[in-house]
Amino acid sequence: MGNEILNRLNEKESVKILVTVDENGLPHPVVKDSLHSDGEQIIYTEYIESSKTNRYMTKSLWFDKPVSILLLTNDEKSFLITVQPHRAIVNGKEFQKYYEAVQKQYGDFDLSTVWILKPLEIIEQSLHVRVKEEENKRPYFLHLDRLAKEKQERI
Amino acid sequence: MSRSQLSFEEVSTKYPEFPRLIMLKTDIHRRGVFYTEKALETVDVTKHQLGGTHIFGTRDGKLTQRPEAFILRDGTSVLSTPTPLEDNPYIVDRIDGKLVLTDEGKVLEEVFFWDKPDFYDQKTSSGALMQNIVSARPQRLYLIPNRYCHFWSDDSGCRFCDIVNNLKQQKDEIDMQSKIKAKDVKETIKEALKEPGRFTAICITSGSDFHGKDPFDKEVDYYIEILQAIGENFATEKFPSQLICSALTKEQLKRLYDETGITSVTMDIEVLDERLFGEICPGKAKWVGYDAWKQRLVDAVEIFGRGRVNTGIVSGVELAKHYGFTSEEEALSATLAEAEELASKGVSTVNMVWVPRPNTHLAGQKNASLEYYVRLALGLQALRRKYDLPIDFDDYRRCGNHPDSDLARAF
Repeated sequence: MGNEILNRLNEKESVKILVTVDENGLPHPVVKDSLHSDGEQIIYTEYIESSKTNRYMTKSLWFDKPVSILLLTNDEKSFLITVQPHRAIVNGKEFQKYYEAVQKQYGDFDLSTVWILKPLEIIEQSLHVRVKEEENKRPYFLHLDRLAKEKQERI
Repeated sequence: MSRSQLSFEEVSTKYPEFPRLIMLKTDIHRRGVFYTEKALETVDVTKHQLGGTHIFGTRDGKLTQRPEAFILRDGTSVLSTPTPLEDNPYIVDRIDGKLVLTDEGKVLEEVFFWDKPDFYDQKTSSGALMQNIVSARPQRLYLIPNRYCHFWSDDSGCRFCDIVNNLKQQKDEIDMQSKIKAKDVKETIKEALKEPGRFTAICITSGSDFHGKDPFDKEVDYYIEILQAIGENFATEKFPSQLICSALTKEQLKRLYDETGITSVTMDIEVLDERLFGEICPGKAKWVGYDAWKQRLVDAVEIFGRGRVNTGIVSGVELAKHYGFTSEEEALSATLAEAEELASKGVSTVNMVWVPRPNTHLAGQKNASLEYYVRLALGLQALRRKYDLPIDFDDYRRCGNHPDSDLARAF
């Protein structure tokens, strides 16, 4: 159900990188296995309250600054998902559901925040897709020898 | 709003570095909140936490059967009591199935009521309702061992405070007792800790009690009894906790630290100006004094450590008519200068927005402008950064009543 690409965040083999931005505009990329999706929104559980990511996520929510997720799937596709942190769940019954799941998975382990992220844009960045896209849309960006008759005949 | 005050949007534009959600919370604390009938219809007494057990009263004088407070989508708690419509509060309404905050008919934010803790409706072995022994914030267990402040015995309580009048109302309406028993505390905490992922801190506060061999010894003895009862539930010697108490001596603080699991201490000076302290907090001035209060805060750092001692101010009361500064600029400058002196010695200052409650000496007055509170919050958080003072024990999660320490999670 929901967006097929977002659902791929739930695949165990997928690599998921959350990229926030620090005070100086430098990217802060971190692998976050806890990123997952219900097909419409993205949920990520942050275990460490004092982490830089948690701090930058808070600022993103406060100042409406999107963050990025890089998704690499096991069939060598990659996607850039731009999201807006929308809600930080830090207490209540909904939080407790996640807390108990974390404890079940990792034993005596804490949970800081359940982040709810709204996808704004999804771009496939797999090499073959991007190459094809550039060839179609930006014909000036290639070397002429690739179009030469001799070369084309060899291909 | 007076003509000279900037609107919310104007303040927001002038201070783009200040988070809008925290500014909104601050303004809700300033102006109060009103729940519409439609919003109140969504309250489920089995799921949501209702008000009534708080140490202070409400702005409209009514106590129970309404939500304790609510949460914004960034996890910020908003502790604001119901306020009469004629005072121009923010409105909590239900629109399109969602609980929302509105102002002048415009929907501003979705809000969420506090979830009720599992232990709230249970009773101790003595028959006491557990919510009357320990109340809760979203993540904090809150105990008020003694709801009576003895400064009021000769009318020298703080001029902004309604603790005793609120207690009278609580006794009449919800059978609240002025004191709690250690055994009831132990049983209630035990029950509260069964709820996984719910609480991160324990906070204890009381009215001042100057009785004893040395002033406040009786207050200290009672805290020790209650803290030891709480401690019986923990496997560790210390547990994340905060004691909000009178300004105690070094010896009294040492006893508390050595004999209980307490980890941090708050001694509220209320107003950072010697003359105003005398006028607004006559009991505190008589039994301790302004300079001694500050010195005891500094002494506490020796025992509890940096980042584990703070003081609260009821911000805006320094501008109260007939007592205070006549300009916000002057008040802000004086307050931050005093806060800096304390910060340089390891003591943090947090602010609570002054709510002129009906049953107080200062009833009917107005608190300060939104811009004042924004500048104060920025100033206090900047001092913590300058002097490297963590405020983890009194931040947005552990407490939620200080706009300045709400900023600490990101600044």
